[in-house]
Formats: sequence, C-alpha cells, structure tokens
Amino acid sequence: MRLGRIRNRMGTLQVAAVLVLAQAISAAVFAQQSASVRPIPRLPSGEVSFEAPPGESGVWNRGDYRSVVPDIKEHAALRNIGRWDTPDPTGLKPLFTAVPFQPWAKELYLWRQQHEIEPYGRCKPTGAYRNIAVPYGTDIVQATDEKKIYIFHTGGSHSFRTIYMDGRPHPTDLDPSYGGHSVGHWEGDTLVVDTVGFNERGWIDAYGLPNTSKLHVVEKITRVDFDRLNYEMTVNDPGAYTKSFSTGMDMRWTPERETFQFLCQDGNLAQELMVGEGSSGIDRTSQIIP
Amino acid sequence: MMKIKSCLLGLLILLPVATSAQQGHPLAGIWLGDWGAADSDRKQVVVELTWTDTSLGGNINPGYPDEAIIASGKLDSANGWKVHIEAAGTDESGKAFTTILDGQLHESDLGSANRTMTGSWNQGGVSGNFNLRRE
Repeated sequence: MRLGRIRNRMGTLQVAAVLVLAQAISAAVFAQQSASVRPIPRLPSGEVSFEAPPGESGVWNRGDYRSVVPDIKEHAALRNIGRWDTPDPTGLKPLFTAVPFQPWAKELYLWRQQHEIEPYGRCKPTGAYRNIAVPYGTDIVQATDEKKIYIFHTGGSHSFRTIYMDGRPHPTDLDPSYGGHSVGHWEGDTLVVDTVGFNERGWIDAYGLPNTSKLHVVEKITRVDFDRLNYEMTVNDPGAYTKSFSTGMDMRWTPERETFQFLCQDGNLAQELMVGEGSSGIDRTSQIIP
Repeated sequence: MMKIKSCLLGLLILLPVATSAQQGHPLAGIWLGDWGAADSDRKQVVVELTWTDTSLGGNINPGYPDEAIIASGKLDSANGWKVHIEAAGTDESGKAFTTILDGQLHESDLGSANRTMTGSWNQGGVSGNFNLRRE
C-alpha cells in the first residue's frame, strides 16, 4: 500500500518534471523566435551603432511617455485616468509613492495631474526624460570623427541635443538651458550620458516631474538587440527630491521611417487643448504659461 | 524715492522674457506688488525669493533703505500652498524692524509663470495686507 503510494508520487513527480522541461524548452524557443535575428550593428570604430544600417532608414520610438507609475487613480493624469493602472512592462519605473519628492515637488506634481499645462505642448524644448520620450521618432547620430553624438527629435520643438564624447568636463560657467549640457562615454556597449545645467522652465517628463537648476541626470542607453534600446535615467536634484531615483523605458526601432519637418508652432492647437475649447471634462482653468 | 522705485519696477516688468516660464519651486522668482493697511495707503514692494535645496531665501525691496533680508520662509504645499516668510531689516534711522508675511499661493494660477499670492503683511508692528504677482 505504502509502496504503491510512493510509486504514484514518483509518477506524479516525473510528469511534473516533464511538464517543466517542456515549458522551459518552449520558452527558450519562443525567446529565440521573438528576439531579433539581426545582430546589433557596429560602426567602423567598433562602437555599437544607434543609427540605421547603411542603405536603410529607421528611427527610435519611445515605449511610452510616463516615468512614474501611479499607485492609485488620483496619482494619474486626467488624460490617463481610464487606464491609470496600465502595467510597466520594463519594470524600470518607480511607483509614485517611491519617488523621493520634497513636499512642494510632490504637491506640484499632483496638481499638474489635474491641470496638464505641459511646456512641451507649447513647443518648448525639453530635457531629461522628456528629451527622449517624444513622438514621431528620434535619430541618434554618432559623429565619431567629431567625438559627438546628436539626438534629433521630430516632435516637440524639433530641436536637437549634443552629447560631447571627447572627455571634456562640464563647463563651470554654464548658462542654464532646457536640455542642459551633456557629456558621454562608453561603459562596454552602454552609452552613459551625464547632463547638468538645466533651467527651470521645463518638466522632467510629460507628466510634470518638477526640477530645479540643481538637476543632474545620468542616462544609460543600451542597444539590447537590433530592435530595442534600453533607456535608464537617474535623477539627482537636491532642490526637488530628497535623494536620487531612477526610471526608464524601452525604445523600439521603427524601420523605413525617417524624421520629418514637424513644426510645433505651425497651427499649434495646444492653447485650445490646454485651456478649454473642445477639451473633454478636463479642468484646464489655469492660465496658459507664456 | 518713489520715482526710483517706480523705475526699478518698470525695469523688472521688462524682464519677463528672461524669467517668465519658471517651473521650478513655486516661490522662486521676483514678485512685484504692494502692501498696506488700507486700499488708500499702498506701498510698492519687490520681493526676490530664492530656493536653495531645502531653504527659502531672498530679500524684500533689495537695494532700498527699507530692504529686509529673508531670515526664514516656509511653503506648506500640502495645506493650500500657505506661505510664511520672516525678514529682518534696518530702517534709515538705524532702527531694526521685522517683516512677517502670512499668505497663500492661489491654486487657480499656480501653473502660470505670473502666479499670484495674497495675505497679511506686518512690518515693524504695522499690519496690513499684500498682493504679489510673480514676474
């Protein structure tokens, strides 16, 4: 009787083992199928290339716009209230309650969720996370001879950012700007970009993370396969946060697309979108920022 | 004296192109307005507020005989954006005075570069109210 029970149990274990093995094989096959079959391209210098291969075209598109995941509906922007609990597939974004806001920065962020008067919508240049999380595609151009990398946006203010790769330090007499001053270097195949010198006229992301001129951002950009970039950003701003924190997103390669001449100022409907006239139940009573 | 102050205010009004779209700490910036005990008795004021990591600083009427240096300040953002500022100065006769502002940022225009705040103003024991608009 007892022996039979042990045999039964052994049989169950064998079946379970076979099932686990089958699942593992299936996952491995699926992973192989879903991973890009093309190798990560490299420039003649040996650096990982973020550009389209010769003879091809393409742009990088942000996975999403948000850098912070709401814990509850009240933490979400009104425009996202219906899908506030969309999961973060990257696992890189902090929950709202994990962001080490100073009190004023937290309340200002929450206030912005209800009013949404983003500087980007009025064609202002963008820095930090919002510098990368823009629509219509981004070109990352590696001018290796010049020892510079340029990030060109299609959307927003149609601006670009220069990342100096020649080992220079940040200037000591920086004029604060929307995008700040960026210097970069390679850590293996990861591009590490260090940026300071931000002004206080923008938001860190599309949802209103505040910053002061003390903002210091470190970005890590890794091409994990032909089709995907892993973007991680660490924020350090003692004027707005009690300690540093990190966030990130996935970026996707969109082949056969190119940046185009997008003019934010031309026929910009942001004023109506932000202060009324056709909005759908969103409180946009705040004055527009000049 | 009033003429000089008016000229300064005029110059500051020309500054918004450079300073308008401030999105950082809500109090940081140059604020213009007036204070007084009655509508018929108003004094123009310039309040320059700075935010350094975790502390509020700045001055009231910088460069004038009634200049007061901000000694402490607090923004209670969780309870209606209440503002408390204390400043200390010395008048033309050499007598020390303190200025205390207790006010509130207006939520209705908090997102505007030209946000406003109002409240009570006590300077050297004289009480009144104030209206300030960020430039």
